Amino acid sequence: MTELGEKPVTGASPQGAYARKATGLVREVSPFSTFVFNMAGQPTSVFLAISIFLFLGVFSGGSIWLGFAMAAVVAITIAVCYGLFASAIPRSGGDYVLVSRVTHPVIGLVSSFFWTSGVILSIAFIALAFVTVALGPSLAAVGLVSGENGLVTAGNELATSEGWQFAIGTALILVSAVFLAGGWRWTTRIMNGLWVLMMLGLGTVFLVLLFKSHDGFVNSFNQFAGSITGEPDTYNSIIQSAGKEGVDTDPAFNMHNTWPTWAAICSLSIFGWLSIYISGEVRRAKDTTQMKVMSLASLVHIGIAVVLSVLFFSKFGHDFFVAINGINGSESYPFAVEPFYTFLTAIAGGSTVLAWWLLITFVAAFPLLMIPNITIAVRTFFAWALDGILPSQIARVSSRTHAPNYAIGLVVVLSIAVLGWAVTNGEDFFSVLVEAVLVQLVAMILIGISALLLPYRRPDAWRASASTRRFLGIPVVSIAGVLVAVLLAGLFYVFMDYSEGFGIDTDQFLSRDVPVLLGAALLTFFVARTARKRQGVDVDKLAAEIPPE
Amino acid sequence: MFKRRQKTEITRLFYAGDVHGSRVCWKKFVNAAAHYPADVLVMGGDLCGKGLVPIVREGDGSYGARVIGEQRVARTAEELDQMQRAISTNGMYPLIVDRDEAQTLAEDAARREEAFERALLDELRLWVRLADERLAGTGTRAYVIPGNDDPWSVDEVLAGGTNVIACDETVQQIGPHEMVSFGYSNRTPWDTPRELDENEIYSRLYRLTDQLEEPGRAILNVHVPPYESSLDTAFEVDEDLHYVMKGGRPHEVPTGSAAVRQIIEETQPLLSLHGHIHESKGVTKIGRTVAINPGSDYGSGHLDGCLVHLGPDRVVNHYLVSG
Repeated sequence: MTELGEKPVTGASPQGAYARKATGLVREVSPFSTFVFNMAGQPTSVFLAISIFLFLGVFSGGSIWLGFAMAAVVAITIAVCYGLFASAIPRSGGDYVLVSRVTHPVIGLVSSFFWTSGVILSIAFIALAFVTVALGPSLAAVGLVSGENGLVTAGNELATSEGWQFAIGTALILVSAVFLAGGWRWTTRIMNGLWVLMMLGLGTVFLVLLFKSHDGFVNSFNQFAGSITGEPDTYNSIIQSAGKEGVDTDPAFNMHNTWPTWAAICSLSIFGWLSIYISGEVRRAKDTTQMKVMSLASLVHIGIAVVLSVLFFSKFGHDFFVAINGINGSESYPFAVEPFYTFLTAIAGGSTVLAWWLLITFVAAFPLLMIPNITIAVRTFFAWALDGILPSQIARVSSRTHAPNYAIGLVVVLSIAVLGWAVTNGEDFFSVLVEAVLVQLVAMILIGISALLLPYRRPDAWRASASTRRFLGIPVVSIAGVLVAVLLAGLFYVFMDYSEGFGIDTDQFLSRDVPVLLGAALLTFFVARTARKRQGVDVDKLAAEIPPE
Repeated sequence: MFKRRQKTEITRLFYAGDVHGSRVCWKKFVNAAAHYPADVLVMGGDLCGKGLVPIVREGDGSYGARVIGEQRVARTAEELDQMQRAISTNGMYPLIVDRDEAQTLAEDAARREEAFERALLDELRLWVRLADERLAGTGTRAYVIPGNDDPWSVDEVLAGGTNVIACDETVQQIGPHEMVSFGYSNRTPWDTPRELDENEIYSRLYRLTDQLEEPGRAILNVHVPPYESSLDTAFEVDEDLHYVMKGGRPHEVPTGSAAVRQIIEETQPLLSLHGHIHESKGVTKIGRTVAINPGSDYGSGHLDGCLVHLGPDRVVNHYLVSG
């Protein structure tokens, strides 16, 4: 095949083939944009702010270093498995397409109902967190650092007002949807720009802390906090307060609590593979490029997180960092801003300009996270519509941008509705949100099982894929599929076993959420099948591979 | 939402194009008639593959080839067959050679051209035979045209089919519908075998559509999509076949045929089927005409196509499918 960039005359290509003179056409998303898309699904700055350190006090003695190492193993195993799998079926639609093409459309639909319900909840969460975690606290942090009380008040007002939460969250969803409606050209540009901004912010944090000594940070912190607390040594008083509240700031290593620490790290570190939802639009999706890009995205994310965590503990002080996260939210906590690394780094730098810069780069990570989530839901609905599960209108694309505007509209409506519920029923929402992580694990396990079955159920697709390597006579993709299923089942078990620490209501999850989703998926499939049958079309056939033999 | 099927005589048509040498896609195309099911199969051109993969026979009796970047070795007849199928599934032609022949191919462009021609014609003969056998006794016909990428030599092979109907530049009767077929494209930067200037496309298509007795019920099976129809968006390339970059990204432009668009606007057939631009998959309307490009992803072994249910005077339903 003569792709652009290769010679248009017969000659050897890098892949060992001779190419004939013929028209050549390419896919839109470059390997770099694919890398950014995969990084965007687990923005490192958001992960460092909300995903791990909050659990330091809860799971005392858990080793985050061991947790990182174990999460890296899971992330790389998933990248290898899903990357090889997607190279055999390089289509957009993610888990739905992969699972349905290898097993059965109804299993694919169950998988994607589980996955997509979590995605819709995540979109609402990102929109809410954009206000309550990013904008509000960051503005308040800038206010505290610069001594501008007006900003502190504005930040707190934003973070606590239901009206602002809904209005700004809705605006973020709409703006992200408009980017997507502009087509890939705009979307990838904006995502790449936001990613660069986020990385510049993390780079700034790295440099500020690298050149700041621990003693220097303690002095800067006491100087800053003294004006608020009136104490000359707030640094040590925070450690003492934590001790009084039962937070062990220097616990011995505890393997029992390392498991949930690993789970907390995994909650935003094993999603470097989301480009399987846009495989049909990714360049070189047929070879091992996507697998390598996924692996790189996972390694870069975890690598940056490890390096910055080392700096946080060494520069902020291990005891202090555990203590300030441990008492966050209690009466002993002296600030109106959560102890995110951005806040502490701004204090270390002692500069209003730095505080503003960190605000901007941290806030940028939220639309960065929003865009792939909306894309995933859109591509899933699009794939359902193509298979006749949803009305065909959902699969229509804009004549100008080729964006699936009906599918985007459906995702926007659903997400804003869930956001409205999240704003007014925060407790119920967060209870369901953490359970959404669990149902998404089920979908990921189903992808692993489908990868295991690929060489046996779709042997031609497997043989024509990027790798037919075997280990001990077993296809590597099958081994990777088994490993993914086992590792994620283990992760699922840890979340259930430590449900109290994670705020998971296991009874509600097992007796309500899973049956409701399963029932909804089956009902949708059978309603669609009946409706299509009346039109003379068999949904099972539309969604299935045409048997070649 | 879910439209109800009308109680009218329905012609079920399955269309696909741009299979580019993928044997598995061709097999799926033929089997689509029984799978969905469909009464008529229409193949919209670009049948031939673009890649030739030498499988080198080694002294120890094994065979080696690079497939999708992976060096593979076949030691048994079964493994060799699997290797050939993997290459074919990706839309390339496997060619078994010894070391000396491999060296000759690497050095001699004329020998490569010869090898290509031989490989693609052998493959196409196999396809026609396979379709004739599988469609025998079903009453279903496969109407096939070449596309701009297909060399002239394929015409003779297609003409030899019985259930495969070579229909380029003809008007065929499909139930109550007449179908005009046309495999040429407008000019491309690749200077492929079947390209024409827009004036020539218009005059040839005009001659064909002028024969239609009921243009409003007709089907156009034209390889190249109409200009600025959203079915024809591709990256712009310069004379050296490099992307034209604007704002740091490849620039997208409509690449379809203005003549095809003009013919559709003037004739207003019921349905217009196109391929050529693989990534510009979609459905649009030009006046009353439903125009479809189902795209192509032949390299993945999936057949992108569309299933169209035609009433006598309207398109009842259409589904873009990937089988």
